[in-house]
Amino acid sequence: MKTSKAMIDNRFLKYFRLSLGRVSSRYLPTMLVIGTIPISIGIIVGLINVIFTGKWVQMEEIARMSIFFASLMILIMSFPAYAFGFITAKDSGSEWALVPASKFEKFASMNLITLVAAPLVFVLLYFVSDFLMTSTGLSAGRPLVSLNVNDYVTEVHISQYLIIYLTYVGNVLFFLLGALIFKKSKVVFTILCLMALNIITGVVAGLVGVNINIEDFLKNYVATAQRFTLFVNAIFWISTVVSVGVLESLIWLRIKKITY
Amino acid sequence: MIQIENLAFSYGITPVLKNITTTLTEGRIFGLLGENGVGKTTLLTLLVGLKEPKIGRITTDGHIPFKRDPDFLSDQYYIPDTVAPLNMSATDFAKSTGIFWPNFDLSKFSQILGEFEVKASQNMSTMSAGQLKKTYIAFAFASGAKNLFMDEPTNGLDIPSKAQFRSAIMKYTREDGIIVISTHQVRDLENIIDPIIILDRQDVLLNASVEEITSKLYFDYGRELHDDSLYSEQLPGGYIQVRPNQTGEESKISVEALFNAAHLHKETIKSMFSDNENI
Repeated sequence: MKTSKAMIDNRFLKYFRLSLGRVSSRYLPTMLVIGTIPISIGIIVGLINVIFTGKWVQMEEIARMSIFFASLMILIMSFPAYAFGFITAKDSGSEWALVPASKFEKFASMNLITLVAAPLVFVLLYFVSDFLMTSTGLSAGRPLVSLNVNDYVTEVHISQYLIIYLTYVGNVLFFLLGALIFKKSKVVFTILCLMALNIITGVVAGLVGVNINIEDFLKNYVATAQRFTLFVNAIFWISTVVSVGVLESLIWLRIKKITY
Repeated sequence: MIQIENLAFSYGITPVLKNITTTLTEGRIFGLLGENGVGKTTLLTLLVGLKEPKIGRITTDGHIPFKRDPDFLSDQYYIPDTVAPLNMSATDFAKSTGIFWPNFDLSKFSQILGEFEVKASQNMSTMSAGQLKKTYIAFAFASGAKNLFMDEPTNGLDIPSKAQFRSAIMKYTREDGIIVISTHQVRDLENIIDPIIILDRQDVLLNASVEEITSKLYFDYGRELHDDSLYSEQLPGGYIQVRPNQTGEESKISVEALFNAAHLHKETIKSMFSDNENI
């Protein structure tokens, strides 16, 4: 009983609940639309085929998996701007900044919602919708939840869920940072920044590549398939850890130093 | 107590506040006046912790506002000029947000909202600007916060609401608190603000209590114009004149006339009240 009272009195939990409630009121309708895409797209595709060919056409596994990743991208791009973009506005942002919770509690709460709550709700909604479509025979093949990405992406030997999740984390944090920095056209400016960053990274990688002997490198370090897999995995983990670390630091600094 | 020491702030290379030193003490309702662009909102946002001073220091009961410590934040409430139309009912807003202010009283919130004739069940995103402002004012008074900061609180309020606001501020605020109201609508708040702070370009022109002002300035509502008037304006049936009070006679302050007198005779007013830095 004591623990439960302490939990209720905990300021972080109170703040998390407040923040989650406000984010839900802003994003829940969009989440419902994105999360039920397997049903809406499946029915639209089926109906179009009924109209034009007279037959119901089921969506295949690979098409459904592609649509899942497209939906995930929509979530990644839209969620931070909808959920936390208000922070840059003078009226609602100052109201948020002056709610009596610490800057770290606000940062932690934002992370929990973006990195745990949002993908969890999305995946649950999406997989349930997809399961309904496959179990009723309206879509073809196995439910997405039973598919394995490693069947398609053979180079990276990490759990499929971890790959998808880490890809989500790295990208959503970039869009979260964009939502906290840009006052208008948050998604567009973030995409432009992402493109610019990719160009810069490409140029830097190119310059590094010119200065090393690729042939020797491949011969000495990634000569075998096993070594190549290790190399790809190492690159994946290093880039993920570095980008997440940098992005989280920038988000924290933004929250700490934001002024109105 | 709020202590402001050598405060300076600028937007890029444009200075707004320069070398401001003053103290705001408990139990008073400060009226912050000034022309457009002199830095009233900037000063308020610095006091509540929404901006960081470039030079100088602000301390509120030992707290540095910009750190935005929860203990500091739970003892103050700020109503900006434009408030956020949240997508929830006024009651839900009060219930979910009020828990962060230890002295928040939900029944008081409902009572004040009732006095303001705003429906507690109405979604804030569908409220008019005036209703929304009244909801935040009700929240501020119900929060039980020691220090209240309001930027143009009567903007958007209809005539009955302005009277209700004046009544509520006297009824629902703490006696040991500091209330700072920035306004251009001086007639709305003339009878409740004391002391009066007039900001000039980058500087505090005047920071004095009504008693001190009327001891040094005489507000003459007579029919005869005087040569020593710092400011005069024709009214129906006579004039309002601001003159140096040489006889010690008492008069009723006109904040608007005081402001205009201060605006016209900056150096005179500044030197008259230069010993009043701490209120």
